Amino acid sequence: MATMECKIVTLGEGRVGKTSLALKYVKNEFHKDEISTVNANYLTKLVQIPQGSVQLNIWDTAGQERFRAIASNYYRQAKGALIVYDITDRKSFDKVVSWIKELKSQAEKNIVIVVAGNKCDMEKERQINRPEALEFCRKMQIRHFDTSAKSGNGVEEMFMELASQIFEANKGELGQSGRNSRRGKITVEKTKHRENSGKKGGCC
Amino acid sequence: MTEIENKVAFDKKKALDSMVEYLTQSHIFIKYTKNFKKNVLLVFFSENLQKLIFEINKQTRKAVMLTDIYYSEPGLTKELIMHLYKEDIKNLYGMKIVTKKRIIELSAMHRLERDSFVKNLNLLIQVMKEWKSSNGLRNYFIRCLEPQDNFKKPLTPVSPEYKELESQIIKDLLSDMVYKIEFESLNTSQKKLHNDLKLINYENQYIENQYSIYVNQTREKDKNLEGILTIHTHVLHKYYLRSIWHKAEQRQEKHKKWKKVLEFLDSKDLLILRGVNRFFLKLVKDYLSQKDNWARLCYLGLKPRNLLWVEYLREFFPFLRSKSLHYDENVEDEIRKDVSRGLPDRMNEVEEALKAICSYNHEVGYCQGMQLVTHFLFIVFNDSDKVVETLKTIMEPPYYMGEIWKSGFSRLKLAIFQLEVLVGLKVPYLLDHLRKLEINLDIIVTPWIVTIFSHMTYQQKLPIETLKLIWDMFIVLGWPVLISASLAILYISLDKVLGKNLEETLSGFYLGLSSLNLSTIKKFSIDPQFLRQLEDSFNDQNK
Repeated sequence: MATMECKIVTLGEGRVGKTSLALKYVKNEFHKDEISTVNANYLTKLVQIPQGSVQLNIWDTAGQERFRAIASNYYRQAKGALIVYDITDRKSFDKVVSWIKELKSQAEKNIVIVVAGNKCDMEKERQINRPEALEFCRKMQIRHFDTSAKSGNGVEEMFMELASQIFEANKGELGQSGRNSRRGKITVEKTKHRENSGKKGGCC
Repeated sequence: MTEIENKVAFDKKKALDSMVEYLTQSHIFIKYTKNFKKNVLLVFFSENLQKLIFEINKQTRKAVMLTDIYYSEPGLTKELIMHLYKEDIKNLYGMKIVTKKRIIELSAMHRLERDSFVKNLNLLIQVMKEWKSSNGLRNYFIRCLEPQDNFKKPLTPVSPEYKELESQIIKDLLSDMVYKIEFESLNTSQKKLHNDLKLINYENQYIENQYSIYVNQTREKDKNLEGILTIHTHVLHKYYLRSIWHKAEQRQEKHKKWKKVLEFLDSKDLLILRGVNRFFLKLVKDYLSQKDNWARLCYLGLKPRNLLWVEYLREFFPFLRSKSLHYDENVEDEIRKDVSRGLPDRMNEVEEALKAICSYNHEVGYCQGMQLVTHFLFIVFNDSDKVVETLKTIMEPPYYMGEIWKSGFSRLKLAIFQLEVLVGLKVPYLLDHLRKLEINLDIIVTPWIVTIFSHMTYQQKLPIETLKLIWDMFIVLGWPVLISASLAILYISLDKVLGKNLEETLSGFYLGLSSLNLSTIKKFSIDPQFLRQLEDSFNDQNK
């Protein structure tokens, strides 16, 4: 069975929990005082979805505005983007629009975007109404998730959704894997993944 | 020399290393007056180690000259103990500092604190005493080579460290040299003295002849007594000048001799030497006023750093004081949020320092990563004025951190360009490997350069001692160290990285950092001229 390899970037204002979400999902770790990301981190995880398996290569980027000056590289060839905002911080939600715009102009056309309202364990300090956020995402035709990197709520679902959307969007390419494998997006399953799937990988 | 002796000498060296740093830090003790009154105060040594300062508050300070202190020991006088016993005070650990004039009695809250203070103070006194005697330096170095009771520690099976051996060899050479210099100077000064005496005798005779002739003449002519007095003072004056000249000559020679010796000392030794007396104060000051000498010292580690970094920056970049005084509130907010996470302690201090920096240079503002640099400086200095001053200085050339942190990252892009060229030249396999993985160097080196490598320490990958050593070089040599240290790290990670996939590669650069050392970085030091050429071509490209 072939594995689809795809690049995902996390975006969002500083301190909304991009690194925490990625870490929670990939390593099931949560640090209350996650240090601020300088430039970018890289994490990877193999996901099994009903249609097949997807290897998510997550580029977790720095939130601060000025790091975008060298960050445009990260959008290149990205198949998916996770835009995070903090439900207790109005400003971070207002920024979501500009991130979407930026992605539409800079990234690949068929990029899959999902939005995460993070820190939903702090419901008491919520500043953005849930209906408002949902309405906004519906207009943009983007899936919205309530997540909490602390409790883990919604994290798994969100990445699963992202993975399956990406799989759907890029199914076409999988068919031509033989020719296209050099580009690094689609590769035949490697030895180390055998134990995960239990089957022996095909070979070109 | 046997390995055991080496080891013991090394231990002694280590004790001296920590001693200066320990004594110049402030310690909280309780001091007792004659009437058994108690004062809580800070006790520390002045930066040139000449005075032991007792500070009750910023206004009231008392100081004892180091030369007045005989020794210190644990325990208090009987009278005081009896008094304290009446008051039923427990858990105090007393010590006495015996000076020329009186006995100062202090107590500490912890036994360890008291013991290490007494130990370090006695060590300092011992070292001072030796240096003040005529052949002191030789004694000091001989003692470094020979086992002493004070420094006998249980031996652990360690592999012979080349660095220690090297320093031993230098010490051998040095003690040889001191001997030769002393012997030669003894010879020459004897000869000189002989000649001088001869000369003085001749001159003396000549002057006396002249004098008697003149006296006779004046007696005969007008018998003016004033004339006699004048010529008398003239003669005295001449003697006086001659003696001063003679002294000055001797002094010059001493100067030369010691200057040669200074070449072999590291920063901590220099600092102790500077505290001995005025002669050495001046000598060491002269020595440290030359940048080249600092370049030598920084490869040995600029200990203690809380003094020397600031001293260097003040010596060579003294005119950086405040500029503008405003910053927008967004920055304040950004700083507060960033500082509140990820730092182990001192959040408030770091926050205040960063705000001060942003108001000093609001063009730069706050860049993520600066909080780590600031926190690291707090670890070193423990003093917010010094932290802010250092940050201000490193934002300017030849450090250029301001341009690295500034929006747009102009200088960071230059660093990446310079590194790309140099990696191609010096570590070509790595560049091929990264190309295969389709990643750029900037992903790897940005955090290193933006945080001046402190980011690696906060991720618990780079030992803080190594980070301090890199900073020693950075403070003295500036920008090129960012490049050469990055190259060194890329180089030592080669075997952890080549042939690995993307994830393993990116984390591979953080695996071998404990083996990073100064000689590797030195090996990759780049000619500043070449860096400048690269800078020019980078600027041309971007025009």
